[in-house]
Amino acid sequence: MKRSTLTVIGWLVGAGTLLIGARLPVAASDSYGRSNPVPSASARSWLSESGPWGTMRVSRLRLAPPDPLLAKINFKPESEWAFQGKSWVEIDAFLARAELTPDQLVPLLQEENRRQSEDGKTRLIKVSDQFRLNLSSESRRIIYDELASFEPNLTQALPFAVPTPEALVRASLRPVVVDTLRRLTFYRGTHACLVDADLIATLISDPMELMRFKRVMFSYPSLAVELTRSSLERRAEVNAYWVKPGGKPASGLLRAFDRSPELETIDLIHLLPPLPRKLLHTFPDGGFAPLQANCFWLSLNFFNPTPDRRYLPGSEDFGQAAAEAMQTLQRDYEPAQPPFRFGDVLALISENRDSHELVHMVVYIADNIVLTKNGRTPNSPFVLMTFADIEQTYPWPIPLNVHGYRLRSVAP
Amino acid sequence: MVWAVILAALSAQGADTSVVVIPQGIIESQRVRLDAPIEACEAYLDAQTERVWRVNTPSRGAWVGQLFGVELSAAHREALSDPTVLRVLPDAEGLEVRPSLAGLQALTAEERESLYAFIAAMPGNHAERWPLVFPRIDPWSRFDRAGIPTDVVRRIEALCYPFAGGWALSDFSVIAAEFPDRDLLIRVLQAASEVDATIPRLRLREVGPVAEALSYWTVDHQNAFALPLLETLLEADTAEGIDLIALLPGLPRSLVNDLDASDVRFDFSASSLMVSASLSVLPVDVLNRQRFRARIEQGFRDVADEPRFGDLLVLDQRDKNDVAYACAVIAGDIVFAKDPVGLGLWRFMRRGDVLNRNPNFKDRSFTLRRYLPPLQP
Repeated sequence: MKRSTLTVIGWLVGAGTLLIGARLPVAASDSYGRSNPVPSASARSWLSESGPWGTMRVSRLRLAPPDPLLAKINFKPESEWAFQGKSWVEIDAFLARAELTPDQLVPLLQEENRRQSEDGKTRLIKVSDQFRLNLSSESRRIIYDELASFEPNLTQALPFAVPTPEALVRASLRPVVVDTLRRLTFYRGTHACLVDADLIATLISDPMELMRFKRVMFSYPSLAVELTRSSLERRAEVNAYWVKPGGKPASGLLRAFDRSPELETIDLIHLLPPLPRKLLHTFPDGGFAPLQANCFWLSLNFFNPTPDRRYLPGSEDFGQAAAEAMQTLQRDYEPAQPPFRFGDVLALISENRDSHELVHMVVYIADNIVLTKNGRTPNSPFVLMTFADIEQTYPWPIPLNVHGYRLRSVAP
Repeated sequence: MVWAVILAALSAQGADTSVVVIPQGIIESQRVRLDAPIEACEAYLDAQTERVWRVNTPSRGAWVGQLFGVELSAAHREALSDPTVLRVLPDAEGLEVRPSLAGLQALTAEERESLYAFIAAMPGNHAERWPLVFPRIDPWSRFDRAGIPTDVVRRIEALCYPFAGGWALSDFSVIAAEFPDRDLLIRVLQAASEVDATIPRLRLREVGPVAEALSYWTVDHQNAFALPLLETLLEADTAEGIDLIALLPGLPRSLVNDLDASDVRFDFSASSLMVSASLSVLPVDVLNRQRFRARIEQGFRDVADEPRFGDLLVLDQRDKNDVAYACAVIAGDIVFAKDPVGLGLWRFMRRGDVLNRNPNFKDRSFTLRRYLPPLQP
C-alpha cells in the first residue's frame, strides 16, 4: 500500500495549481510582472521586489535545535527497507532495475534477510551497514525514491539536505566523516540528499563531534524579514494586504512609518497574527506549541487565537491528521488562484493518476516567502522560508503540485 | 573592533534614535509613534462608559469621613455620600459608588485631582488609577490631526486635571455621555492613545563573550526558547542584528506595540505581572494559572543586584500583600511594560518613564525581583 492517499481529486480541480517539480515557486511572483523574483540560494540578504505587500528586506538565518534537544536526537537506523502492498515478485523485479551489481543483489534475495509484517501487507528486507555503504549513488537514488512512496520509510521520503561545504567546514568534522557523508549522498534532481546519517553517526565516538554533526544536519534555513519604509509608496495596497484575524487591515504600523521619519524598517513579526507571532524562530516546547506540532496545525491555525488541536498527528497515524486538514480546507477554505495573498494556505500535493497525497502545507506570507513547520517533531522550528528552500526541504521523488486555498472569512 | 561598531552605531543615530551598550550587546532603539488598535478602543469604550467606584470603606459613615480628607466642595461631598448613589457590597468588601453625571460634570480640576488620586489608591477603579494622559506640551493637537471637532476637544480639556506634569482624563464617561457618537468616541480614544514607543534592535556580534550573552538573554538558560536564534545571530556574518521582539517569549511577543481587545477590560495589575513574569518563567508555567501562582510565590525573590533581563520591577499594593503593577527588565534602562496609564499599550519603555508616568504610585517604590527557583533535591 502506498502512503495514505486522499480521495480529493474532484475538489482539487479548479484550485490554483502550480507544479513544484516545474520549479514554479508560488507563481504569484510572476503574475506581479517581475523578471527574476527568486533570490539565489547563496544570497545572504536581499531586497524583495515591490508588491502589494510593500518592499521587504530579507536576511538568511540558520536555526539549530538547542543543545538539550540535540542531545536527545538519535539517527534512526535505516537497516530495513519496507515495501507496502508489493509481492516478492514485484520487489525482485524492481531490485533488478536498481543498477545493483550481481554481488549486491545476492543478500537482498536471501530468505534470511526477508520477512513479512504481521498483517502480511508489508514486506521487509534487512540490509547490512556495509551493504548500504557500498551502494552507488544511482542505486541509492533509485531504491530510496521507490521506498519514499511507502509510509514506513519516512527518512527516504524526507531525506536530510546535505549541508554545504562551508557548513561542513564550520562544523569541524573529521575528514573520514565528511568523506563518508559524500559517499552516502545521492541526488533528487539537483538536490543533494542523505538518508544513511545513522551510518555516519557510528563513526563518531567523540560526543562533542557528534553534537556538531547533529547540529549541522538538523539546522534549518530561516529568514529574518522586515518591511521597509518604501512600502509607503503603495500605502493603500499595503494596508489592505497585511490583514489581521477577521480580515481587518493592519494599518497601525504603517501609520508608525508616517509619524516616525527615522524609522526605516519594521520586523515582519509585528505584522503576523498572534499565534505565528508567538512561534516564529522557535522550536515547539510544549508551551504555545505542542511538541508534535506539524505543518497542518500551523497552517490551519494561522489566524486562530486559540489553536485547534485536530490537526496534530496521533502517535502513528499521520494520515488521520492529513485527512482532518483536507476536511478543513474543503469546509472553511476556497480555492485560491495566484497571485496569492497573506494567510493563504498552500498545500503541496503528490498527485498520481489514481491517488492524491497531501505532503506538506505552508502559509503564504508575501513575495516568495512562506511560513512553515517542516515535519512533526520538536526538532524542526517554525520559520519563514523562500519557496525554493521548501523545495529543497521536500525533495519528493515525483513532482509536487501546489494548490492554493483562502480562508472564506478573509476572502473579499 | 567592538568600539568601532559602537561608534558607528552612535554616529548613525538621529534625533529619534538612541543606543545602549551593555556587555551582552548593543541595543539601538528607534522612536516610533503608535496608537491603540481600533478593536482595543472599541473595548475601552464599552468597558469605561459606565462609572462605578469601588471603595474599601466599611460603611457610609466611614466614607463620609474619608471624603472630608479630599478637597471637595460641600455640595459635591454631600452628593457623593447620598445614600442613593451608594451600595454596600456583600462580604464586607466595601461600598460601590455610582456618581451622577451632573456631579462629575461640575467638578473643578483641583477637585478631580484630589478625588481621583484618593479613588485611584483602591484597586478596581480603572479610569482613576490608569487615566488617559496627555503631555504638558502640545497636548491637544493630536485631536486636531484626527479631525475631532473643536467642541469635543474643548470638553476634554475642561475635564482634564494635572497629572505627572501633564494632564489626565478620568472622565471619558462624561465625554461619552455628552457626545454619544460611537465612531467619534472611538476616534477620540485612538487619538488619545497616541504614544511614543521604541523599537529596539539588538546587535550581538563583536560584543562580549558568547557564553555571557547567551546566559544573559536566556535568564541563565531557564527560558531557552530564544537560544537557537541567539546562536545564529552570534555566528552571523553581519552585525545587522534583529528586532528585540524576536528574543521575547511568546506571550510578550504577541503583545509588543499592540493591545488585545480583551486586555483592555482587565485591571492592569494582574496582566502586567503575568506577562512580565513570562520573560523568565517557562511558557507551560505561565499558561497554567495554578502553576503560575506557584512560580510567582516560590520562584521570585527580592534582589539588590544590577537589574538583568527577565527581572521584575514590582510595585506592591499599599497595605496588601499583592502586586499593583509590574514590568520586566530588558537591558540597561529598557523595560518591557504595559503603559501604566491610558489604554495600557504594551511596549518597550525607559525605566524612568514607567516610574514617573503614573503619580498614583508616587509614594511607593519599585522592588527588583529575580526568578531564582529553589534548587531541586
